[in-house]
Amino acid sequence: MQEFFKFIVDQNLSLLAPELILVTTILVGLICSLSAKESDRQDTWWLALVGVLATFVCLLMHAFWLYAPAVTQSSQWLLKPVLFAAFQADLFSLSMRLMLSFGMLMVLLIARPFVQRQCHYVPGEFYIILLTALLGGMLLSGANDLVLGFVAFETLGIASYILVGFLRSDARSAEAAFKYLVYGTASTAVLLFGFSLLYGASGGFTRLDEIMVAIRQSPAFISAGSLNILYPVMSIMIFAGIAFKLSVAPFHLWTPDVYEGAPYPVTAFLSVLSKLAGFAFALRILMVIVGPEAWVSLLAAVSILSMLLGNTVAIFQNNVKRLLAYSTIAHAGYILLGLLVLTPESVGSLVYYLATYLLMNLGAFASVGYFYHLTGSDKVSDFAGLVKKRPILTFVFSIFLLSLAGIPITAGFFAKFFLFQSVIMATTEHLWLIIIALAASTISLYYYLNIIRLMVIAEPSDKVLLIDSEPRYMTDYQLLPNRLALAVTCAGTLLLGFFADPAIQLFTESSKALTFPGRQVGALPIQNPSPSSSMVVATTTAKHK
Amino acid sequence: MSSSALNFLILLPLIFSGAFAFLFNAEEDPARLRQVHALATVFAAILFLFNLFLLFIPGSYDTVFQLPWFPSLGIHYAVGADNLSLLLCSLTSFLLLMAVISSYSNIKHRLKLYYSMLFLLISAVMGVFLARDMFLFLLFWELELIPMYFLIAIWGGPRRSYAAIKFVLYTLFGSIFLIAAILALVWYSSFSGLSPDSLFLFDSVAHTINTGLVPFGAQVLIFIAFFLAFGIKLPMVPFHTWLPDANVEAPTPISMLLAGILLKMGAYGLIRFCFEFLPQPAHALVPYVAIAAFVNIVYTAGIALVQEDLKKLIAYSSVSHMGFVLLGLAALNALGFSGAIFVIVSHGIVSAALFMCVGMVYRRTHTRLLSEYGGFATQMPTIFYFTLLMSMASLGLPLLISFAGESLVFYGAYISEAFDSISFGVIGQLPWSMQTITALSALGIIIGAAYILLMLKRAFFGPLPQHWQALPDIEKSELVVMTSFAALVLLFGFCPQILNGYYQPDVKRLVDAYSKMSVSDDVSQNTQMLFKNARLVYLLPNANQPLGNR
Repeated sequence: MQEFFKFIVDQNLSLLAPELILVTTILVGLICSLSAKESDRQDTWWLALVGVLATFVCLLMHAFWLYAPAVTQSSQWLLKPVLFAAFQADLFSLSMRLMLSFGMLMVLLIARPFVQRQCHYVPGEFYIILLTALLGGMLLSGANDLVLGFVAFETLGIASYILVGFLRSDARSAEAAFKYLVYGTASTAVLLFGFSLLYGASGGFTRLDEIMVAIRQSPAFISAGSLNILYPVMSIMIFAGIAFKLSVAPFHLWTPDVYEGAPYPVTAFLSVLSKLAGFAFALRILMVIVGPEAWVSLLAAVSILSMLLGNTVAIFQNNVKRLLAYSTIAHAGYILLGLLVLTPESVGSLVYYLATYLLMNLGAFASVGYFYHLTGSDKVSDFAGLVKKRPILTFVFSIFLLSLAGIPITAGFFAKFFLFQSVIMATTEHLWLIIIALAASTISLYYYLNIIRLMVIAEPSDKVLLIDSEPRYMTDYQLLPNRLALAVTCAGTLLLGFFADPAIQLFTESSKALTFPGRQVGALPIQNPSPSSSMVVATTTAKHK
Repeated sequence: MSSSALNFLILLPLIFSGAFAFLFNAEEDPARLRQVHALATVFAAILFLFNLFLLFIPGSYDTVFQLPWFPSLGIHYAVGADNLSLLLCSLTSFLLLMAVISSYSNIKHRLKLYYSMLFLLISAVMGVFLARDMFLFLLFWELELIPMYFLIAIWGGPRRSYAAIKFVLYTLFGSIFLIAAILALVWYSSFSGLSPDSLFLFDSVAHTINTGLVPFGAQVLIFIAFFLAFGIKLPMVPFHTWLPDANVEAPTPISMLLAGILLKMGAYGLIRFCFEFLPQPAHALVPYVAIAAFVNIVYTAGIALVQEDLKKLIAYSSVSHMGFVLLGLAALNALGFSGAIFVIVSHGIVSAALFMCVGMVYRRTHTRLLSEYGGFATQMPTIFYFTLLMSMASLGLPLLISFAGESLVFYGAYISEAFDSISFGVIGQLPWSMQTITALSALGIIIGAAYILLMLKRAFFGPLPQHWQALPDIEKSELVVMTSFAALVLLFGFCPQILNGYYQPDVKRLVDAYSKMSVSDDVSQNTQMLFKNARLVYLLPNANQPLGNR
């Protein structure tokens, strides 16, 4: 017994308390939902909700009691090794886990009406698997070890495959699940192969910080002062494996079909939480493998392709879930811009963008889901004239769409501007990329505004006219949890922008935790350039005087 | 009064907008509509009176009211006003009042949304004129898009959706360059040694540029980016096509605001960013600005000449008149700047009034085609007299408001020696001096007279078509609007020095930037290296004197 407690203390398992709460919830929920009567199984929702809430509160307590004193007392971060240093419980992973569990609260709220209506045969399992996926995401955002990283990645992945195919009777859902499974497995294999190359090159390390030190001296990688061909192969493989989760072009092919076929709550989960976890892991592993200039051009190309392709193809979509799928591809493109320069400020703005994206995209999917439950349709053209029947839903959905388009005073505007600003402040080399990104977001306004135009201006569609008169669809009262999610995300989308400063400062601080011992962010291959030309002008002017 | 009072110019319309959106229910019976209109009029009047109060009570509005907003990113909430800003705000609140009164007869449905969008628009426009922080400026600049989109797309004519989205996309296309230029400037100002929490303030940016931290080539690029962004809004010729569409499709009150205020945002941006902050590239690139002005004036006047649609004709004449602003700015002397600002105000009043006239005729005939008009002078005499007055003002008849502005612009441009030939790099050079371009641009006045007189002849004289024997004359609300416009047109027509004297401090500041430049050597070297033929600005001996008694 003493050994056990010693293990807990030595391995700092208290820092993993949120995950342990989640695991407990999953186990308890599994047992309860299997043993409960058929009629009571819906109540697994309450258990899941309480469990995620407890996780969230536990993370908040960590933030206030463990991290806040550490911030104020010294700049040294709490970097106690958790589980033989496989998990990094630093401020960065803490903020990502906070976002993930908050997002899961919203997803649970959205999922409640859906499960009651369409998934009544196995309600318990749905929530349990959702929580398992969250567990994978939370571990992934702190993973500091190739093995733990891969396990978390697969936990998230496999749970997602099941969730996508949850509507047994729906052919689209089954097709989506199959597609997702095939693409997912292939890209996981690629990722694993990249990992094995990394493992070999570093001489047998699995911890990222050790790999980082080893790889810089490894003879397998550095021959005659230049990088071995293995290096780009490895980094592209790892990037491709993660890029599948981020659904950036050209690894996006599964996205529209899967988003369209999957149930609403699952689409919301995939488009936000799964991506968030992917970005967290990408940031951590990029710090290790990021290398030559070619890396920047690769990221830039992927980012441009995602932004332009996502936004142009979205114009032609008539299914609102497909449209949002292409829009998330474009957003992943914007977010990748933050990865180009990897300064603390850019990573801070990137995480702030992720937080904004979490709110607005979950809100958009919650609105779409709400509309679906009212009318049974997810066609863009069926949104016409919604303002006549549901003015508040129209207002809220418009806020989310405008935020996605980056129109003030929504949080999307602030997030986009700050992200671009942080990239420019690091180096003006990427100004042309920013211009392309701005052009892409101009295109995006066209299709977002088109939905708003339909809702506000056009004559009501048949589906909208039937709201409140068809008994087979849900009433507003039944959709109460969904409304709560809409209220929270809408308030967040409207207000987060105004309080961006403390958020960005916090995230910038937290990104400093990403630098490993012995390595400074400033020492990255891409350095902050000084405005040499302008300095020359300044000195010559001084000489004149 | 301190500059914190300026916040109310932004806040009041925002509160009114919120009040309309959330407080009142939207019953659509006629008695209720009148009440909503009346309430909006009261709100607009409150705003206008408050603005007049600010205009006439002397105060230190120049000292910027600032609160740190995003200190770690260098962004403040900062508002301040020089006389130019305050003048444009007053124009805005005056035109808002006029637009609200003219809405009585023009807007009949969804009033709640209409007024909340209208006041939101005004709040954003006020913000643009008052912002003293780059980020805040950008925020208001883009905030204005969505209300305007709805105002056109819901209450507009048959092609309203197309016109509205075209307006939004054109402006957003411009803001790509605006954002890029702002980010570039802020990047430079981060090296200026100023405290990092105030990078975005206008003062910091101006300081960065004045200390020579931004290399000349970069300044030229930034100038071009700003020029594109604001030129699209102005609008400037290859990018002007959104304006006729938007103006034709928008309902009358919105056309008035569109021509009266929204275009002025572009002009204001040009003066503030291009000509005040970036004098060096402005000086180097002024020949091309002058060419753009010439094309704007003459080309669109030519298009206006052949229009069949009355509203389109007025819209193109708007574009043509905004060319005078560009021409005045290109002169780079006190007369030119004064003229440009005068035209901004006079065009704001006259074009809004003309759109009101068009709206009155359209309401009665339900067509805008000149070919179907004729003989309205006998049918609607009061409308005819007002239209006649405004048309004469538009073509620049002496003793009416536009005359002073246009003659200032042309006089300033003619005596300007900003350049005497225009270089096109390797292609060659055009031996046109500022005088040549001024003389050529004067063609625009002649064509302007032609299309205005032709329009009057076709609409108001000649035989009256049979089916329009019983057109009602002007209504009470329309009379109020037109009388106010007419009073201003005559007031500033007879005493232009009231207006002209008011903004002279700003003109002096602008001219000083260029006079300072003429003593500095390395600027001229830079300029000559890049643009061989650009000469230093040559200022008139009496350039700094007030111009009222000319």
